[in-house]
Amino acid sequence: MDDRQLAAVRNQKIGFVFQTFNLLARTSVLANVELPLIYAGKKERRERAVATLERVGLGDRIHHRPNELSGGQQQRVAIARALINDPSIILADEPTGNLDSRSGAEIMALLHELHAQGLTIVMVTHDPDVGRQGKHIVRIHDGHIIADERLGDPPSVPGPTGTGDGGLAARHDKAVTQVARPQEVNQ
Amino acid sequence: MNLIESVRIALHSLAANKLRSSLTMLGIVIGVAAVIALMGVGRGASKAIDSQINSMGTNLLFVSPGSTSESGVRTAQGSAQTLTYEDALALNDPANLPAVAAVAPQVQAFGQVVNMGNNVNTQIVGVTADYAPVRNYSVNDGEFISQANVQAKSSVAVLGANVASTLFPDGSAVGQSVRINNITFKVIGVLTAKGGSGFGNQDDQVLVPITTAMTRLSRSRSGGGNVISQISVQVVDAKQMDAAIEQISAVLRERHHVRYEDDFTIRSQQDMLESATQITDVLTLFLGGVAGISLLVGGIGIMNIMLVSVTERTREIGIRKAVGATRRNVLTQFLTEATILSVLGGLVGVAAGAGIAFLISGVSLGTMTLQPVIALDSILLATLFSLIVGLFFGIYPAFRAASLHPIDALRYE
Repeated sequence: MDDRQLAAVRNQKIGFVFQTFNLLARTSVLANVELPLIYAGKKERRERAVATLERVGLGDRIHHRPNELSGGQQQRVAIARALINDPSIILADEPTGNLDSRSGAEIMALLHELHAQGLTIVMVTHDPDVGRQGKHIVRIHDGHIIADERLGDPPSVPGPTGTGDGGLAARHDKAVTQVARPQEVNQ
Repeated sequence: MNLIESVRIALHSLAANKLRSSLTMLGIVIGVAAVIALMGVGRGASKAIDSQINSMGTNLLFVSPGSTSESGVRTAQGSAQTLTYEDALALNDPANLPAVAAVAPQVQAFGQVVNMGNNVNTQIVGVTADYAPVRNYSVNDGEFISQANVQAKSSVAVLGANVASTLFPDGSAVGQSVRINNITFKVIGVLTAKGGSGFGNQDDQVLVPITTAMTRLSRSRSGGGNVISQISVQVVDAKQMDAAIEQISAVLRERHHVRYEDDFTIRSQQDMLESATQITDVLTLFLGGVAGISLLVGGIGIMNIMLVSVTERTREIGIRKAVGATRRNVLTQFLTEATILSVLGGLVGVAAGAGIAFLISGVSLGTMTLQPVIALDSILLATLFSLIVGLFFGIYPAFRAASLHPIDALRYE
């Protein structure tokens, strides 16, 4: 695939959520969420961005700057940004890693909600509590898969891939500091 | 993503770093302001010279004596004493020289002009009655030198406006008398002021009858009684210039028994205009070149800042790519920023340049008053040039930004 096709996949099919949020500083929450729509060339950006922010519970913070929000709120903005183009998959790289346990739990609840709505979420985590919430857990140690377990039934929610088969959590051995790249997990 | 969107994003990022953006722009501002102001000055100067040359009269030819060559050493043009008053009279012959409308010979000398306690050292010009219409002079007060004055070798003088105001600071000069080289002259008129000129101030002279000048004032000239400095010839119309030059040359060659090389030179007003234009063109080009260099320096400043900006915003580029920006989107964004910097700088520079030109208008350069001319084409040129500078110096940083790998860019600390 060439650069344009790759960009289109990142734009339309995948939503990224990062450990460090990766929001544009000095730019309002609304503008951050609108960003994928700009590159998609879509209209009615503002309405859609506001609707998506309301969906993650931040309808009242749209004109704030990211640094005026708490970590959990920033991560919600990032999730809203990931959701705005209705992607098939959300790739989440330690979304709770930089958050306190309460904010982390809120974010996990939000991800569960999205999962229930039919989204496939692939998440990388070091946290066993978070990892246990997935439906399909792959353990990776030094780049090798050491365990692959499915928990619970594949839900019957129709999705673009036809399965919507739940979260994938990859957990490292605590002695290993290497962070898995989403691509590596996605093999 | 369309252009308006790119411009909006670019303005937003430029506004995030206002001090840096304005300092970067300053390079372009100074360059463009220099181009605008200097080109304005150059054009103002050439316009002033044009109008001065045109104020000398219309359809003029100037006949000067040639240079002499003595033992192989050539003297300056006009130093020979081959042109005589009789030559001038011979040219005033409509039957023989149909292209010549009027002839005004002149003799030049320098002298001390004194009235009581006031005195001035100025140019004394011996002229005939035709000098006024041919050279476009008129008297403000009194009357001009008449044919009768010339024939009688009268001791009368017409003062230039500056001379009159220097010698007679509080009152009319007409009817008074002045002493020129210890000879008393009666002032019969004062010339209307013409303004300065690049070729000696036309208001700074004293006119006397040519016969009087030849016999009584130009004693320093060894040739004696009938040598003149220049003949101004008015041609019937502009199309007859070449014919007039032919006719004058034929008459003078015959009178001077020229066999090999003419001992006189004929220059037209057009020649003077062209040589003056050449000088101002070179000046304008030179000033423009200097200003162009400062634009170049400004462009390098933009490139430098854009490179710093790309490095600093590597993470932002990564984020944009992660949410779907193509290489082209990123390229456009950074290119737009560079271009906005330079074009905005260019516009501010045009305003600043026009302001500088406005401030220096009316400053006198020697005998000339400078009126800078800000033409639309120089504004368009400067703006276009700054646009090109922005694109040229912005392309490399933008390309660097666009070719960053999204994952590497996101991980950049």
